[in-house]
Amino acid sequence: MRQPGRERFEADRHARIDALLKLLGKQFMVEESESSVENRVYYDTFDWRLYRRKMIFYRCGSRLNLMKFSGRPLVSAVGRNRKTYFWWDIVDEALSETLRPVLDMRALSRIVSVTSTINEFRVMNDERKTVARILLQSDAVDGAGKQTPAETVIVEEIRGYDAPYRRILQNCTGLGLNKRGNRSGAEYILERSERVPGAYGDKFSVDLDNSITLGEAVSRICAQLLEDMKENRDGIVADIDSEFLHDFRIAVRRTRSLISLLRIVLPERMTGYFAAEFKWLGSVTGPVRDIDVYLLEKDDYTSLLPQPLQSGMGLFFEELEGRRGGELKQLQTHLCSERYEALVEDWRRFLDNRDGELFAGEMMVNCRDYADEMILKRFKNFIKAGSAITDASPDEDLHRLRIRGKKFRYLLEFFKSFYEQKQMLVFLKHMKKLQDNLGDFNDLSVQQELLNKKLDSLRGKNLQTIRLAAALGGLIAVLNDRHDELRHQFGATFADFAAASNKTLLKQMIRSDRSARRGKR
Amino acid sequence: MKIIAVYSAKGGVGKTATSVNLAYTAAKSGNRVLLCDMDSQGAASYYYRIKPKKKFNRSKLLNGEFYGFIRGTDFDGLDLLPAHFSFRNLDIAINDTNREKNRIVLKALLAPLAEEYDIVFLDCPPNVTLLSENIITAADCVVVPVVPTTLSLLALEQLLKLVKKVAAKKKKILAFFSMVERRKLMHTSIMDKYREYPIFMQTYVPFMAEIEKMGLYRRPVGSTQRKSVAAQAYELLWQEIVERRLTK
Repeated sequence: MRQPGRERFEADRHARIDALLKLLGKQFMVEESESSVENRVYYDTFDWRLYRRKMIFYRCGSRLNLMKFSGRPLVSAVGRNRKTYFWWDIVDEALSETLRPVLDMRALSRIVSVTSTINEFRVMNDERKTVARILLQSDAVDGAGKQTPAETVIVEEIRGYDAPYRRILQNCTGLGLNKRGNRSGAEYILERSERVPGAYGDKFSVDLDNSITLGEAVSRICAQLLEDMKENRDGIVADIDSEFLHDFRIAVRRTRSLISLLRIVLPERMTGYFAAEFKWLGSVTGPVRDIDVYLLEKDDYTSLLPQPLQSGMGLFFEELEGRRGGELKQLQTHLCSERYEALVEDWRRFLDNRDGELFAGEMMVNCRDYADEMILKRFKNFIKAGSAITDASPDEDLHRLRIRGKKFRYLLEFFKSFYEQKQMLVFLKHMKKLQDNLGDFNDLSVQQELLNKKLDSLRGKNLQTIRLAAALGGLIAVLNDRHDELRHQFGATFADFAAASNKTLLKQMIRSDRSARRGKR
Repeated sequence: MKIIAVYSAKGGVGKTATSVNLAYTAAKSGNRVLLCDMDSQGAASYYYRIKPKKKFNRSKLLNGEFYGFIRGTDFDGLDLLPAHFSFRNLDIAINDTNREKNRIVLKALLAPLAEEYDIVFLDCPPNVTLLSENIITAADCVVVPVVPTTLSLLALEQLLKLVKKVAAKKKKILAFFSMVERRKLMHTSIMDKYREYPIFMQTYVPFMAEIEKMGLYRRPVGSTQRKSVAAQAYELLWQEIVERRLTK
């Protein structure tokens, strides 16, 4: 059965709405029936996880609602008014379980709050039967001051009365009202927020063209990374969820990786200060992240242990949570310090200064040529280092390889817009597989080390301590098994990556349009 | 989807008032409801101010081409299939369709609506014909208004005979006292005698001016006077039907 139609029109001026009602009044009986005012607060994660899945979450009074962009409701439930919601904060199981796979560890936070006034008009025939409804919706973004509210005319068809519906739509277009088209009301509202919907959270990419100089490219990439840091800093200070810090640290690491690249072409006195300061930023953000990694794995860790040992882990996590509070406070002090502000300011000035080092001398070389050369060089070194690793090599060698790999991967990501996208995607996929192996191996080493330390520090004979010791022992054993397994898998995973076909793929990618470019310059 | 027929062989017992108000109450409590006006007089359609489209008629109904003729009422979640003058010979037409299966014609016609509606009400004409057999076969529950008079009880007896004839379950039938005037001795004594029978519901609907006035307002009583005795009687009646027949 065909569903009744619903069409939305933008009404840029109130005069048009008056004209529409007047015009309809000549053809039908029109009567204002109801009016209502409601306030909706829209939420999404910082990286727009709902928006990307064409979903929207809002609170209206004491109800929490999840719906599709199309307006189709998914779940609605009673819930408390909060500034942020993790999926586990929501009592209603249907709603929390729907959100769980989408949000994962991220929290929903407020995007925009809108007060909507809706006036409903009934359009009636001679029998005084309603044959269509017209809703005038006026959405005012809260806190937007004198910004004019968005006016929308919504025409609703009543099943079986298609002719009057069509006539009303004709009247609307006749009066020059523009259809809102495929954009849903929710999308339209999100666009009125201060942030650009969907902008944050895409894979890192900066568009560079083949003629760009090295300095210019570095300036642009670093400016993007600095922007990421600034955006995430606020989330860390407000402690919304763990991923602000995670993303912040990635931006810092990428920046450090680029600075180390510049060392080759810039004098040490230029890069030394920034290298040291970003290293500082990396180290002060470490402790909280280390704890977060544990807390995120809480359920996973607990489930690794046999039932009788599980209770001991509770104490361990409680203690970690307590420690996190203290560490976070310190981190927040660092991120609000003059030292941090000065670093951001100096870095920004350095990146923007057109008369500065980035835009002179060695930095004026062609970036693409430089990238080609560096990528091949780092790839060669990476393969060489990886091939030297045998079953007898110490774990340390794998950790060093992991860091080399990370730097190589960053390089590919910074400059990926130079290369053929499909080939790049395939290569990065192979790279990721190897890095996952190395990354998990490293995480397990670090975690075991910390658990061992914790175990060593235990004193006393009370039951709780004994239970904790038993749990830690159990966990170390399980993690050690996993650790060995990954170590065992390394050889085959690396061999896959170092295969001739992958080497050829990279070389093809690098050289794809070299001759064409040579011709142009 | 549950099909609820409001039926009595006797006229003037409040069938249409019952279907119109029950359908409204069911929709109000969140169900997607379709009210089918099977009576060629079209009183239910009239109450909802709905006229059939020009191309609608009996054969459109019997060919299963009636979805496009369903119309929305003024109330959320409540649609109506209007009656047509040609429905007066609906039973003859059903008889002509297929002799073998002519008792389940209506049931088959309504089946595809399950995706769209939770509850379908059938407002039936007052007679005992093949259409009535179809209605009893199709319905999950047959609600029978009984005015506490001897003639009305007679109609209920006839219905029970019909149920037996079509081999339907007697449990489908749910009667209630309608248009009750407590000042009339006959009404109270009949009610006293029969209300304990399991076929009768406990709720009864009194004779009320506001129900008669529906003809003037052309709206269900609940939409004009939500708190009125009549509106509350229909709400109680609906709750009792849900409890006794719609929940397991």
